[in-house]
Amino acid sequence: MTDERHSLLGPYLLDALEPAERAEFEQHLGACPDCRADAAELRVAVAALAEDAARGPSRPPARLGEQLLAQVRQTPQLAPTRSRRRRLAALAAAAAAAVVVAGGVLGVRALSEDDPAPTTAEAVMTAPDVRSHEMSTTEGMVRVSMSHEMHMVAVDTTGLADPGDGMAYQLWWVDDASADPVAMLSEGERVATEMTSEHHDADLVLTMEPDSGSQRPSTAPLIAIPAAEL
Amino acid sequence: MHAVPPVGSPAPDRTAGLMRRTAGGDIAAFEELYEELAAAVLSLARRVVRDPARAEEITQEVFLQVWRQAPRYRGEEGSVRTWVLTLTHRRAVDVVRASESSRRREEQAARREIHAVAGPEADAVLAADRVGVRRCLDALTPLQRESIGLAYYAGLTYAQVAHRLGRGLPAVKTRMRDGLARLRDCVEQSGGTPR
Repeated sequence: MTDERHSLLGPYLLDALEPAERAEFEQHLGACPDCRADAAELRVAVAALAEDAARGPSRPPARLGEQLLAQVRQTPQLAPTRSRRRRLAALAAAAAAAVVVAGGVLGVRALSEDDPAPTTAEAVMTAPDVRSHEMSTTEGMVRVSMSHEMHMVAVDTTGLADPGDGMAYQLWWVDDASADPVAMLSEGERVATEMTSEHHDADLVLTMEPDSGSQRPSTAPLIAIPAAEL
Repeated sequence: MHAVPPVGSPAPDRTAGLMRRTAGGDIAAFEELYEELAAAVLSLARRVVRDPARAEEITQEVFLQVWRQAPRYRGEEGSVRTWVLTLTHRRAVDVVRASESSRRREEQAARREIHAVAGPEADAVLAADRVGVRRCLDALTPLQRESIGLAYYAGLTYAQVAHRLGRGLPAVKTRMRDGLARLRDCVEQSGGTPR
């Protein structure tokens, strides 16, 4: 609440943030239940602004609906986000499958009941100009979606295994000179980040790291995609 | 002119049901959802981008997004209608910002709109609007009203709003937030609380 970022709530609700700021604010919102409650209250006002503007006399022409339905018939829907129950089941299965678990105890991290609403990531994943890459890794599938129009790339870890107690996935931009950490992702999270010209020669890299985050990648990359190929 | 539905209508339960079926891949339900919400989406998009052809494209893009995201919709951000209008506004704002050249025109149009609060459609909609959010907008301070109007109806970022109004960033951020809080209080008092 006292966080400096919280002052961006008004601009956020009015869609008055740049895409990168918006994505960052949504991450903040995901970690701050009080902020989400504040946002929900003020959304009433934004909804009233929307309703006022939505009241115009515009009627969509019939061809619009016809074209849309033709497109919809050829467009697959996103997979549902895995529920908490299924995540725990997956975790149990992973524990059962582990041949050697020293001490035999696999800690179950408290998973938050209410997930953040990562709408920027989903907007990137469903952008009209999106290019998606499904990448198979040792931990499962990662979906990387690029929207050049939005200058953003989204990484969806819904298809990855739980990284385990104290561990998380970390996203990076890596080039010859440096490794810039972008975001930490726990199981099943999605994140969007800006891609600018400075990333031209960099690779987008995902590694598994301690959940406090690392300064540099400390494990073998699960994915490493040159920006030029996104 | 058909009757203006109360704010937050029509029938949230019905759209929620349609949304659930759409999430299961039911194209007929999606079609009904489109019929229910398309006019509102098109109108909102048009208000922000001001270009009818572009507003139609946005309408298609938004509904395609609704179709794709339906299995992940959790209803945390209010009713289906509110969620769809949120997607619409975001997309419209992105489009406005992408077309740099037309910005000035849109700003001017939005400014006119804020000052002469009644727009062209006001004649048709009559008193319904004036007792709603527009009357509430009138109750804001000028700086709150302009900050909200330039952001919401002209698609400016808060930094652009600050520059335009010759104010600091903290002032604009605060006015937006306080203005929204005041607007919410006013809207809730006047009854028709949108969900």
